[in-house]
Amino acid sequence: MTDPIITVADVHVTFTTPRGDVQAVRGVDMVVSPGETVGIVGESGSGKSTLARAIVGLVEVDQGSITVDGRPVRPVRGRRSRADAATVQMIFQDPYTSLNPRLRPIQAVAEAVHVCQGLGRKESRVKATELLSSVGISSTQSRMKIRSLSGGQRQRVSIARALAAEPKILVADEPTSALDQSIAASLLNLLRKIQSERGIAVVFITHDLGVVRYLAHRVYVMKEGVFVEDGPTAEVFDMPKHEYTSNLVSSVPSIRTRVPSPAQTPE
Amino acid sequence: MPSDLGTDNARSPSSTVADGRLTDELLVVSDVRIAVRRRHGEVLVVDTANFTLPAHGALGVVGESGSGKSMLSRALIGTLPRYGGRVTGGSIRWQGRELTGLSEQEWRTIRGTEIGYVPQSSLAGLNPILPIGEQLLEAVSKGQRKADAANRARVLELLDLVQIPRAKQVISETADQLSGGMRQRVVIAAALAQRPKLLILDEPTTALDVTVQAGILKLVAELRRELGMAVLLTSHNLGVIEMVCDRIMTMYAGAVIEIGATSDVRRGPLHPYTKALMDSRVDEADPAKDLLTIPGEPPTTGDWPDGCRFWPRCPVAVDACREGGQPKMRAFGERWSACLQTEEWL
Repeated sequence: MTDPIITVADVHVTFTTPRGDVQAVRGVDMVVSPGETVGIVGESGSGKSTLARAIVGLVEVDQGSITVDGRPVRPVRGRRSRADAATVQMIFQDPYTSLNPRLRPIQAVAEAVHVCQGLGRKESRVKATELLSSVGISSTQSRMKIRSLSGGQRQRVSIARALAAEPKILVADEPTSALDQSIAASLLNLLRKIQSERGIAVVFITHDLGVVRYLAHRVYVMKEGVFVEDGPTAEVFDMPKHEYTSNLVSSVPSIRTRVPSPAQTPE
Repeated sequence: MPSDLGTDNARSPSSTVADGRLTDELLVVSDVRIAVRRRHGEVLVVDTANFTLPAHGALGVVGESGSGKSMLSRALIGTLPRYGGRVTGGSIRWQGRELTGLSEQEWRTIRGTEIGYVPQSSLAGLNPILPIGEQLLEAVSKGQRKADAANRARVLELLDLVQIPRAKQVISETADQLSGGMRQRVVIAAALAQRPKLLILDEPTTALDVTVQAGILKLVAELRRELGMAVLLTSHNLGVIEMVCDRIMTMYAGAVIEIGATSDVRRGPLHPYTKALMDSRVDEADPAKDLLTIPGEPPTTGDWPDGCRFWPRCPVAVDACREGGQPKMRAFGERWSACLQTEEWL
């Protein structure tokens, strides 16, 4: 096995709130191999988004360590170094707030190319056009104001902007849950294409079991700040070992599992 | 067939209006059009909505954003004006009574009494600082908050009905002390207070976790059987509808385009859009293959194409599909489809 590109060791994250300290993540271990898609599935309050933010250095870890591409992750103060940006990029749930609506896609992506790759203005625009076209944004759309694009188109722009850094890892926090099903489907195809063509490792955070089953090679099931189960996705879904996992899976009766469990009566 | 309710659930009234059996339909919606005020005037958000719902039926309305499903459900409880909308044509008959054109005062005798309503956000349905018991008393005594013994007993009975444990404590708590799932159960309890014959639920579980969602949907299915009421549930999620409803109605760009028994639609939808929705479901997809997708995006409200509104994205569209207005629904046995090519593409 190749060296992991992400190593999370005994990580704890605590938030201080007016009502007292909240332990969002309470000691998790996780490894991600280069080019692998790993799902973190959990319900609201499970700590999955906090963990994702810790991996990209957006929240401070108060115990344990996170190593990404051989370097320890330090919480971001001000701007991240070019090397850190080049390693991990994040895509957020809400394409309506993660992009400046007054910019045009070409500007948003060219700026990222310029900052991350140090290319000149003209070369950055050429590279940005390429990236936008690779995520399915036409040259006409790339010159429209971002606010006039649909949610699915904006999420594609977010992906193109993330790719501008030529990252080795993409952390995606519920990138499709604000989208309609027919739009989400083509976005998931796009993420799979990017992952396989560019060999990027993807950490996909979601509450949607269907998405994780479809997309992830391996899955971590998170509940109340800890992982209750992990393993190859098919195994975890078809033969859950933890009661919570089987509860989750049975809450979505339509979910396609490949090995029928003994409890399932054939139609 | 395990259910005796499944067969007559939602006919398209264009034929049943002439049909004498129609009298036992609770709800008959014919050619309803809904317009919403926008900056540059009124825009149609729903037209050619035709369907019926019998007593005890459970109809699921599936559609993506902009399909008009929420506006349609608001039209059925007379709250369109709150969203700048109004019914501009057609008819909504509720137990034989015409609902379009009712005054707010007249609506109050129906909304919350004969037709219960559960909105998407349980917070929208509850006062955050008033104790749960007070709010349910209000629902039980029609706004008078009359705390006599009978009403108090009814409040506890309602909490019991929606399977809330420790009901006696919950009545003195406020909404923000409850979890999202518990809040949604309280909203359902309030909607049931006047023993409605129809419960409308508009995306009732969208904001909830899957395990909580499963519990709420199971509850709705049980309540429907126990109380013998009809259910109309809107969702963008076919899986949610399948857990509760015996009929599915698909909407696209303001039009009803398919109605059929859930089992039939699952086995083989009649409209290419319903089929595309089924095929692009990630929960049933084979991870070894790309997801099937629908090219393009739905048309913007107010900018619907001529002809069938799905034709720009449709894999089986022919010239005839691009002309005229939205095609009318046609019957195929117990099922209905608005696709001109239904016979050809199946």
